[in-house]
Amino acid sequence: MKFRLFICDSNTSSQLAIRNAQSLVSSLDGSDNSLEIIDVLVNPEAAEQARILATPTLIKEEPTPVRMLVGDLSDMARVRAVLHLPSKVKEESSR
Amino acid sequence: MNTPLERLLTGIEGLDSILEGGLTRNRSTLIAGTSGSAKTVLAVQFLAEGIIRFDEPGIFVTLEESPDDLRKNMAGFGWDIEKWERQGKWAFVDASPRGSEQPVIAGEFDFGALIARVKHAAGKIGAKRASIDTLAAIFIQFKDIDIVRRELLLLVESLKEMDITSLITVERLQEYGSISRFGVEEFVTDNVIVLRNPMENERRRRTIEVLKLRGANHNKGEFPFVVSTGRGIAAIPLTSIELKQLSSKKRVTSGNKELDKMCSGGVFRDSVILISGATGTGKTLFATQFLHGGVQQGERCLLFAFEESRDQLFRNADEWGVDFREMEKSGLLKVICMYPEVRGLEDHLLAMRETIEEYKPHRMAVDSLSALERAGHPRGFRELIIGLTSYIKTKEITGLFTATTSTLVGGSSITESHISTITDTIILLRYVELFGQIKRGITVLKMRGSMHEKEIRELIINETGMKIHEPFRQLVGVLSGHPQVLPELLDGNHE
Repeated sequence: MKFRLFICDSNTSSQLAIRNAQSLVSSLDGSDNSLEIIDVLVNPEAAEQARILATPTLIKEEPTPVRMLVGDLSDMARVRAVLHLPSKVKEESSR
Repeated sequence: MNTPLERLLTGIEGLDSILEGGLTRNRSTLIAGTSGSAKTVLAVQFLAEGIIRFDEPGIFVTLEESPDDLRKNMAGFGWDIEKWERQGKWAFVDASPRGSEQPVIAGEFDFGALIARVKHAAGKIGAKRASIDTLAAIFIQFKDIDIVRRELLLLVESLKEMDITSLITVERLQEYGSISRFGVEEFVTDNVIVLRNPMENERRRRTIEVLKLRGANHNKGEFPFVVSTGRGIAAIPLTSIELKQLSSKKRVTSGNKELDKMCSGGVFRDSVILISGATGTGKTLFATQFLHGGVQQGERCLLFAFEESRDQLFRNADEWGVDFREMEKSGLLKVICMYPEVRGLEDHLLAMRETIEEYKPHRMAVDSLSALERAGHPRGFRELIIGLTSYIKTKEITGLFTATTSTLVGGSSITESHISTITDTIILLRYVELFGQIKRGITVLKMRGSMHEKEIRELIINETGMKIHEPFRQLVGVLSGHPQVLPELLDGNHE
């Protein structure tokens, strides 16, 4: 899976989103998973191109369909549901 | 005393005078209106006029329509957004919905990206103005009203820091009632303007009202406006002129020597005369003489005729020895005939003002106001009269309006009660029944700032024109149409 995460500087929700996104990606199976982190203050053009309003915003670009998640991703159950991933708890218990 | 807030002229016709000098600089103004109330047009025009009139670049944050739709939809108003984008005077911040990709909320968020984009776009072109259209979309997408409100306050604050004056549109669900749909939008900005588009007498009537302009004066109440292709929004600021002094003591002829005498030597140059009477009492004849008198003095004259066709008017004038065709050829007369019903009253007023602006007449006549009255609603009619009267006064034009009374003898008209306080001179024409005959009477009821004759004279109209005769003597109740002869005369012992 290919992700882009738009964050805004070093504010709390952005830092939390980075940590949550990183742990999400590392939990995924396979080797071709990636996470690109874009700071809208450094690169506003990229935010313009992607028409991003809110930060943090996580976009799952591949595979389609594209999905957009807004917020610090602390609601991980919801994040995984939107991305059609099995919930973590289930994963652990199955091991 | 506080120093007054600095203003920024919107450049939108009529709006700056309603705002008494424009918006307050670097503040945000909420534009609230129901759907179809021309909010987007106003938001676009605010930037367009800034570019056209003041060379002030602007950014347009679109949260609903795509930039492409806006470029296309606004071309009809004569605004070439694409050209301005190429020239670096206009920049879009495109926050329109991305099709099916609705964001899902999963935790705390802010509008850091939107604010960063706005700052970036504004910095790139050196924006002085911004329009955000429309907040409804953002509330629907992000649901959490408290967060959205907090973030909008930050956005407004950023705009202020960049010295940008902005308009933010919001949706209302009804014409009257709460200002905004989500109940918090109006707390984000310093200023609030409401656009309305209610149905009145089976016609849409657009109005604009400045509800709040923090720290600054503005005109209160609803003012009519029109939206037209090629120019966009034009508001009609109605300034009450009831207390205004006549600025000119110079007298001009009414076109009728005897009437001039009754008015102590003519009417004032920048005054408005109302001629009221039943059908056939000679109102159009007075208007014709008024124009003829003007042309003879070398004045440019303008006639708006709402009752008769051009042929009819010219034929009547011919009979009275006035050659309208020759007068038009000389360039001193312009006759415009129109059916009152072809457009709304607001459009009539704007069209008349445009003609006046272009032709620059010294005097003008409207025959008749009553025909216009039938084409609209009472409030719109009163606004038209006030708007037209104050406009021609500022241009120092002598005006003559005719009004038709509904009853043949005596009586008054609605038109009269509407406009008697704002006209300077009122002349009544009345049918009088006397000794089994119908005669016509004429009197000067009022003339502001001047002495005038108080008597009721007999008016005789025949094929060649009119003649004002001696006053009716020994009669009372002439104006009611049913005069009583005083007893001395009946006794036959008079004199």
